[in-house]
Amino acid sequence: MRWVTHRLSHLQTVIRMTEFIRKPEGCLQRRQLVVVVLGAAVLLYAVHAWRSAFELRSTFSSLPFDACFIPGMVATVEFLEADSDSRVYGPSLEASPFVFQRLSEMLYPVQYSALSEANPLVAGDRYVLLPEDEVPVASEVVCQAGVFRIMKVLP
Amino acid sequence: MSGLDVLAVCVYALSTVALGALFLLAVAAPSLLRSAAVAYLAGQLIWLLLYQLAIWMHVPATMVVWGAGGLGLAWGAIAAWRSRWYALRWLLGALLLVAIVACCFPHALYTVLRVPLIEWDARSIWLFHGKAIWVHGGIAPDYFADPSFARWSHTDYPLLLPVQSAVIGVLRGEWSEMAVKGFLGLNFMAYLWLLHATLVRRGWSHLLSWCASILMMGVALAQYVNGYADNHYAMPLALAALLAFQPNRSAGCGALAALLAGIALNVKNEAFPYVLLGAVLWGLLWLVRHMRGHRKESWLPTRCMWGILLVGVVPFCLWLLFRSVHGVEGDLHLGSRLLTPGASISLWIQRAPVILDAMGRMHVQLHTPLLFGMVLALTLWARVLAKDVRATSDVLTGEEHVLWGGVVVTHLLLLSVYGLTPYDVRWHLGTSLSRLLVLPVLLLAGLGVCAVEKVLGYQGNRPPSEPVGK
Repeated sequence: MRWVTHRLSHLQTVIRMTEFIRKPEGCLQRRQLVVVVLGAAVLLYAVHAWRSAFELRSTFSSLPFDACFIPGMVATVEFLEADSDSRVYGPSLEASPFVFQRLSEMLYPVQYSALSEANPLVAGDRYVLLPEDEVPVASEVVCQAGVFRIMKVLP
Repeated sequence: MSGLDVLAVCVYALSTVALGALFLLAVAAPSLLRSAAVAYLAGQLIWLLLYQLAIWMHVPATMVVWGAGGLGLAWGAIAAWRSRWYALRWLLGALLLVAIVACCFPHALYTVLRVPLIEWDARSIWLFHGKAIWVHGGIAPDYFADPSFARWSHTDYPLLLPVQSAVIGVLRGEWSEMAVKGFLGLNFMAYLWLLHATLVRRGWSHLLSWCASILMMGVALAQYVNGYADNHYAMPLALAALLAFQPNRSAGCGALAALLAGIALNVKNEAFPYVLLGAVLWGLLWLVRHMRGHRKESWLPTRCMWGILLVGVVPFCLWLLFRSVHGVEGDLHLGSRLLTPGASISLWIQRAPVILDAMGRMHVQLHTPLLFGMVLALTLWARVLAKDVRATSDVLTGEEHVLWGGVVVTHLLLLSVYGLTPYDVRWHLGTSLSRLLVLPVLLLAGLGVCAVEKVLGYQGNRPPSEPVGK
C-alpha cells in the first residue's frame, strides 16, 4: 500500500510538472521546451556533421589518385592490348557507353566519336583527368580503340 | 579550391548580389526582399535572362558577363559606399551565415571546397551543360541540339544552374571543376538565410528560428552541394509555399514567393507542374476572396511581383522557344504516352505496386515516418491538450491544407512519371527517387513548422501579444 501511495505521489508530481502544456499561461514554458528540444537536436546534428566531415576528409585523402581531384592535372594513357578486330570488348559490355560518356566529358569539346577507329587514342596521350564514379580512374576502361588504362597523374 | 578559384567565386557572388539588388530597387521591392540572400537569388535570374537574350541578340556571353558584372560591381561599390550601414549589415549577415555553416554543416562546406563532382547528374548534366555553355561562349545549338549529347545529357533541362557555373568559368578565365561549383554553397547559404527570415517573419524568435532552419536544411543536405539540382527547386518551392499561403501575409510575401517560384521553374522541369498548380491555386483563392468582398492588398500582385514574375518566366519561355526552334527534346515523352490512355493505364496498374513499394522504402531512408510522427504528435498536442489556445480551433488551417495538398500532389505526380517512364521502372526509381522525394519531405517539414506554431499558440503566425509566462 505504501508502495502504491508512493508511486501515486510521484505520478502527481509528474502531472503537476507537465501541467504547463495544458494552460495558456504555460506558453512561455512551452516555448522553452521547444527551444530545448530543437537546440538538443541541432547539437546532435552538429556532432554528426563534424563526424561526417572527418569521414569525408579521410575518404578523399586516402585515395591513391587523390591528386587527380586537383583541376588542371593531366593523365597519360597506356594501351594494354590492341583492338585488332575493332569490336567492343572488355570486362562488361554495359560499361562501355558509360566509358564513352566519361571520355566525352573529359575531352569535351572533342567528342568521343573522335575516338573511333579513324582517330583512336594513342599511348602516351595526355588528357585532363576528372574523378570517376562508375569507372574508377585507376582501373581499366574500354573503348573501341582498345583497352587502355590511365596510368599516372601528372601535374 | 585554389586562391584564384575562391576569388572567382567571390567576384561572382558580389556581382550577382549587386545585379539582383539593382533589379530589386528598380521594381521597388518591399522590405522583406531587401536582403543579400534575396538579391543573390534575383541576380541568378538576371544572369540567366542575360544569357538567354544573348542568344537571340547574337552577343557573345563573355561580353555580357564582363559588361553586366562590371556594371553591377561598380554600382554595388558606389551603393555600398553611400549606404555604408546597409552594406555593413549585409556583410555581417554573410559572415554570420558562414560561421553557422562552418559550425553546423562542415561536411557541406568541405564538399564545396574539396570534393570533386562525383555524382552522375552533377557531372554529366548540370555542370557539363555549364562547361558546354562556357566552351561555346553562350547557349549554343552546337551542343544543346546535338543528338549525340542529347541522348544521355538531357540537354532539354533548364539552364539556371549551368549558367551560374558558366559565369564563374568566364570570371575564372578557365574551366575549373572546383570553382564552377562554388555557387552551390552560396545557394545553400541563401536558402538557409531565407528559411530563417521566413520563420522570423512568421513570429518565431531568432534562436528558435535558427534551430528549426538548421534542422530543415539537414534534409538531404548533400544534395544541395554535390551538384544535384533537385534540392535547388525543392527548397525554393517549400519556402514559397510557406510564404505565399501564410495567414498574416503581406505584399512582400507574394513577391518573394514569386521569386522563389521563378528560381524553381528555371532549375528543373519537375518544378513546372508544381509552379503551375501553385499559381492556379493562388489565382482561385484570390478570386474566391474577391467575390466574398475580402479585398486585402496582400493577395493582389504588386508592381514588384509583376517584375519578378517577368524575370522568372521570360527566361523559361525563351528556353522553350530555343528548344522548339532547334528541336531539343526530352527523353521521357510523357505527353505522347498520356495521349494513349489505354496503354498508360495498364502500365500504371502494372507498375504501381513496384513504385509504391520503392516510395515506402525510400521514405524510411529519408526518416519521413519520424517526421510524420512528430507532426502528428505536435498537432495532437495542440489539439487535445492545449484547447485553450485559440489558434487550434481549426483542425487544419488554410496553409496546412495547401501543404498537405502539396504532399499528396507530389506523390501523385511521381506516381504518374514513374508509371509512364520509357525506362526500366526499377532502374529509374533507383536512380532518382531519393532526390525527387525531397520536396514532399520538405513540405512535411513545413507542416511541422505549422504544428510547432500551434503548440506555441501563435495566432495567425504571430506569438501572443504579451509574454504570458510567470
